[in-house]
Amino acid sequence: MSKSWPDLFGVSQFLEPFLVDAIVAELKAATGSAATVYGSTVSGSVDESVRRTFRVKPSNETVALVIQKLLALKEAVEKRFDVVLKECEEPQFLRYREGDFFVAHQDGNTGLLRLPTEERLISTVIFVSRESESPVAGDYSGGSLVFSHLRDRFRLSSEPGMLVAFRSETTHEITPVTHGERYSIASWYR
Amino acid sequence: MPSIQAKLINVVLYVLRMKRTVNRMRERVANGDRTYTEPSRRLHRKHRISKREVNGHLVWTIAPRENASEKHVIYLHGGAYVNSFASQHWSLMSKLVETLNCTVIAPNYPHAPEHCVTDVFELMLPIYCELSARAGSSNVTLMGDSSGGGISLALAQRLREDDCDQPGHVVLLSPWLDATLSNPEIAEFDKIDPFLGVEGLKYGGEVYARGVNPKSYLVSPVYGSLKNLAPITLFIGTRDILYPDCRKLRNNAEAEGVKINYREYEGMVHNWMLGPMPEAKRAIKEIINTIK
Repeated sequence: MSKSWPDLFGVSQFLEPFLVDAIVAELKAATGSAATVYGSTVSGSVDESVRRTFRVKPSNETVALVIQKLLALKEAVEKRFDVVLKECEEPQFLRYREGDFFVAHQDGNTGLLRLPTEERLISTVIFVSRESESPVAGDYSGGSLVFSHLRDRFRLSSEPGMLVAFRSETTHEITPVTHGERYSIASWYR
Repeated sequence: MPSIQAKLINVVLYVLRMKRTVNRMRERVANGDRTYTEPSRRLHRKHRISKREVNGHLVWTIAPRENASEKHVIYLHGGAYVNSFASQHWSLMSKLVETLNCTVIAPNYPHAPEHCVTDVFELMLPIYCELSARAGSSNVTLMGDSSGGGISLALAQRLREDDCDQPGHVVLLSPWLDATLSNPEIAEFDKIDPFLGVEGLKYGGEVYARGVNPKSYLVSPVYGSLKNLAPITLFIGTRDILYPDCRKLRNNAEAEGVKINYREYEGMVHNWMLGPMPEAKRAIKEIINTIK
């Protein structure tokens, strides 16, 4: 393991504050379905012992806007991680309610699995709602993005609008949300 | 001669009509009545327990709180291919961690009928390969009971076919070695086994094989060669419908000139090694000395 573990690339205010407010409002009103995990069933399946979160469907305009911003960042990400990237996947807009989580996992590029997700090279998470240590109305507690490697754990402090990118083979998890609703956007460069 | 505790467990199995429950497997699965337990709070306090997702499935890691040795055990639970962990599995894994200071990797491997044998290997091969690369294959033991024992042996055979390094040991507890249960001797043992029933197990075997030849070694490792595998230790009781196939495996090993550590316990039922009885203590002690 390198000394710089976890190898993260952060962009604060990747989404400007006005966009964050608009997206939160949209996601709160949007419908969706339980998010899946990929594995033996290539199309993904719902296994609530592994991942419990809700994938919400925002407007096509919002999806297109986020993709556009991610593509604009691609070159900087390539440079930062010294990789060549082709595209980014359609982002997943996620809502974690109290008790929701995603156990430790790798998003791709493990070199071991035979899944389409193996082509993912760089993962990104965009934080939309605000994380608080103690319960505050409108914020969420718990639901931290935690990176792990053997016995080492690193909890990332987030702020609304911030993007964090990391190599997809990095093991990470979302700890259970203990208060409020956590909104975030996940995507992957291939 | 079984101990008093072992005899008592036989009686309890009869009283609880366990065989009837096992034979109603198809109906239980249809009703969503399947075993699934997680580590207790006590176990969480005792060990460092974490979970992760691999290939869409939950994989538990149970490690000592400190001074972890290099030894790792991949433990594959039994449950007729359709059930997940029972509380006895966690107790056994806890004992291994406690006495060996080893780390146990316990995958909640895909279960039938939603999944089948190919899904299990899609999960188990990467888990084994990642672990053997990290810990060294000689430090890894493949261990399982019942259906998990069958998977453990088939995985060792598959590793040999793929020219991958063998684990340090393979430990099989009352392993289910032929998913078709086609050994004609089984009918006799079905009359005296108070736990397992042919009818229920046949259902589990069929849905697990799903489209794969049920007599291929991947589904039924008794049909595969035992040459060039890691040292095998096998525990079985003679009051178990899986006993005739374990004996067959021992004979196959002899015919192939392969030595296996075959431990047959007179009058003991299926999975007795997981029960609270002196025989189990003895077996676990032997397993620990083997892995050490």
